[in-house]
Amino acid sequence: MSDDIGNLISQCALNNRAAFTKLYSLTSAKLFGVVLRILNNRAEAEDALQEIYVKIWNNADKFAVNQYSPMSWLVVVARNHAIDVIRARKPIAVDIDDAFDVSDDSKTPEQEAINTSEGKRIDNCLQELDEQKAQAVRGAYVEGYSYEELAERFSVPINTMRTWLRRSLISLKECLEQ
Amino acid sequence: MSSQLTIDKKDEMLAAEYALGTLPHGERISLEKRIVAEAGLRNRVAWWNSQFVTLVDEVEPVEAPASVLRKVEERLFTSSSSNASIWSSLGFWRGLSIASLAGLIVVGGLYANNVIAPQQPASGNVFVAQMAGEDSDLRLVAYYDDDAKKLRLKRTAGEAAQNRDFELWIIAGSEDPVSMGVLPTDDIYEVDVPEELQAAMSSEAVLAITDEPEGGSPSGKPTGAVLAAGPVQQI
Repeated sequence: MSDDIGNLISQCALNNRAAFTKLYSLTSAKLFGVVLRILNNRAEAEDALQEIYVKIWNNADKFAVNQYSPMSWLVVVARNHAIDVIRARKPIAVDIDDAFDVSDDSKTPEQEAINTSEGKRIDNCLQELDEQKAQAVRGAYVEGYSYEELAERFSVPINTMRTWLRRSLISLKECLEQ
Repeated sequence: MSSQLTIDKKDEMLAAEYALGTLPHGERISLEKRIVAEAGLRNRVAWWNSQFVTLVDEVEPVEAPASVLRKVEERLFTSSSSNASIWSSLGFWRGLSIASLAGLIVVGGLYANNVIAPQQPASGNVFVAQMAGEDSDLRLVAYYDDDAKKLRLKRTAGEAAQNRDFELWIIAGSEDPVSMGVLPTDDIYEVDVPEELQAAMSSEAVLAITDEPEGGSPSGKPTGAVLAAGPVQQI
């Protein structure tokens, strides 16, 4: 699957439209899930997905020289775009609901891992952090929470939140590089 | 050579916050500019991204509406700057064939026999094509003898733009165009038709010339405007 996606991206760099349609059909549901989770708005997520696949087509020639696995590259392109969109919009009233319930790690069998070679080191290293700090990191990455939103969720001042998170990132780096 | 060894602690933190997505808008925009310019920073962002990326394994796929793909394809493939759409338009070829067919046998045959045909009489079936375009003054005639397996092409009007080349394509039926090479600056071009294309050289085929970068299309598919085209006809 990963090789297929890599080949399809390379074919897009050669202007192969059929490959692009195939790539879209194999990957768009995952990327839509990722951007929908961050933007939390269907219309915005659909617009974002459109922009993301335009970027994928236009930058397919750069894929060969980057350091990611094929699916990771697509997720990074998608996430970067979604975060750009959400950071550019005004801070919204935070909807305190169950959206932060990320401690549930249960996975359905259909969910494939992005790339096993990149492994699940991040999960192991997050377990070494305090639970709340690990939740903050996951919430930032998966839900696209800003420092304001995290501060509100954890009821701490925003600067405290940033300090927390930076300390967590330093600990994570040490763990990940072991 | 900037490397990740020289990146300082502050930049390491910014790279991590950028990848995580928590940098406020203003800081994010200014860091993006630096990421483009600085390889060391770019490497660190990529490292953090590849650490974090598996966190989205928990995100459930969600089917996007079909309108998204349709809009993407409209944007990418039907803009006026994309000549690719011309190639997939059957109507374009059909119109061209009907328009060119009327005078083909007389005009094409005349050219073929008097201008570009070899001195010896043809030993096999002879096919000709007259190529012209609506928006260019390029005109060519082609002559093919299926015994000699040679295609001869004579340019009767029009020249390639500076630093551009003419590339010859054959389109057999509804197949994708296949390159038959870049035309030399000489008026006459003769090419041995490779075995795999000999069957394509029939009354079902269209020959076409596109405007391409020097040396021909880099992708193996036409990238520039169709300057001249015409159906192949047996005479």
